Order: sequence, then structure tokens, then C-alpha cells
Amino acid sequence: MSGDQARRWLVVAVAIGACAAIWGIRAVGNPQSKDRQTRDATDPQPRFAPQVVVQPFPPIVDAPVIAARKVSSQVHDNELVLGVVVNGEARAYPINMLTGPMREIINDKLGGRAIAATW
Amino acid sequence: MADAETKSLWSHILGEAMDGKLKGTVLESIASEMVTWKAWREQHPDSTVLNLDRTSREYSKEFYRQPKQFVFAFMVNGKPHHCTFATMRSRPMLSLKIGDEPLLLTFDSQSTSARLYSRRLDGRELTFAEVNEGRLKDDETGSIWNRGTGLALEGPLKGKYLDAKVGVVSYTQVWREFHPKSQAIEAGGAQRGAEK
Repeated sequence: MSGDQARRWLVVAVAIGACAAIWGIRAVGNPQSKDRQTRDATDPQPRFAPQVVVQPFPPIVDAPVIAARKVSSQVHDNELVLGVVVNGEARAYPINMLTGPMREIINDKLGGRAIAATW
Repeated sequence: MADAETKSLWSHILGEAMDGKLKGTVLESIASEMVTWKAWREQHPDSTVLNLDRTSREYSKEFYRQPKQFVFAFMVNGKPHHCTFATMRSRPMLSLKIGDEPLLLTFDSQSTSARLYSRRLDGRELTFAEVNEGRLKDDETGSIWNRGTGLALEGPLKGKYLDAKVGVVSYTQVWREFHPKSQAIEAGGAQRGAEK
């Protein structure tokens, strides 16, 4: 598979939410930001040629959270979480709970900011 | 990804709208970490945690059993860089200077947490050494730092935080497909271009 072919395939895979490829947290409160923190500035026009675009799943908002101190069996000690601190407020997103195409994006608010945790 | 407001299509790897009304718009990335729950709750006892129904898939440290297949990846002045989990395991603390950016890349094998910090604080460049489990000491002031949070625990800089930089955990192959020019961080602290 050439680089271009692979790249096209990967973009499609991400578009249909079937490929757990990269994990992170993004601010969604300031969608006009031009600050490229994961994209190569020397690659100004990435190819985008999806072959299939599925209908989006209903967005997840207002997902329940609990205090870390109250966790018993919900999260296991050795499992991986995506952790973030915004303005002094900490939150963890267990990867186990982000699995499956319908729940790979959690729209959330933390430390006064609108964020999305993505898997 | 798609946003409900404009139906634009986004790449979650690039954080950029690829098609639709918001095409070309880039979301701001926020520094986060992939870490075991035990380590996270110990570092952040006041944390909250998402509480959806559990799924059948278990993601533990075993996920990284082939450490060359995973990278911690980040941009410096718009240019992509990556370090494999294999390299980070062999060198859990890497002091870097990329362009004129002094950086510190740390890795904790127990919690499998990689963190990237600026070594510049209040205009001064700091040089770190590991003193014991999870603790760093800077040469310039002798302050003791928590490796996992970047907080100075003792010494003249007590209470100060290092600036945590955005980095993401990715499959090595995926990062390279999206960033063919990405520079690999090697164990010696040197960087070289991506392998063909």
C-alpha cells in the first residue's frame, strides 16, 4: 500500500469511527483556532478523499461522571485512562468506556472550557 | 468526526475540519496523558472520572506489549516528532533541544505514562536529573520535581509547574502515514528523519 493510499484509507477509517488510532483531548470552545498542534505546518493541504461517509452517531453530551474516591468496581487499577487537567480540574476517561463506534467522542465541560475527549 | 452544528467532517488525528463549512479550522489540542487508573487517582485524588457502562474490551498496560508499535508524538514549532515506547522504556528521561525549544520527555514504565514538558521556566532553562522514583532535580536551583505532574515539591521553585506540552499516543504506523517527515527521537537524544 503506498503512502497516499494508506493515508486515504486511514482518513476514511477515522471518518467512520472504526479505527482507534490516536488519543487526545481537544478544546471545542474556540473553533476558530489556527494553532496547529498535531498537523505538520509544512504540509498545508492534506489529501482528503473519503470513499464512504456514514451518518454521524448522536453526539454524547452530559455524560455521567463520579468522584475518583467513590470508584469501586467501575474502573480497574491497571487499566488505561485518558487523563486531563483544565484550570485545576482533573478528569479521567477510561479507555474501556470509550470503546465502540458510538462512544468514541465525549463532549464535555471541564475547568470552564468545552472539550472533547476522543479515542 | 462530524460536528452537529455545521455537519463539517473532521479528522480527529489532525484536529482539523477537512470538508464542510468549517474546512481548514483547527481545534486546539490540550495536554493529556494515557496512564493507569491507579497512577492517575494517586496523582489526582480530587479527579472525577467518566462513568458510562463498562464494555467488554480491557485496555491495560498489556496494550503496549509491542512497544515499537506505539509512539508518543508531538509538534515542535509546527514540525512533527515522535519517540517509540521502546525508546522511552530504555531512556525514561530524555532531555531534548529541538530548534531553540528546550524540552523534557519523561516516561514511567509502571504507569506507562509519557509526558512532555518545556525546560524553560520564567525565562530560565533548567537541566534535570532523576533522583529517585518519580522525582526529578534541576541543576540550576536544586528544586525537587514530581515527574508525573511537573510540580516543584521542594526547593526555591516549590509550587511552580513546568509547562506541559501537547503530545499524543498513537500507533507508530498511523503517525508516520499522517506525518511522513516526522523526526524520530532516539535514545541518545538525537533526532533523525522517518525511516523509509
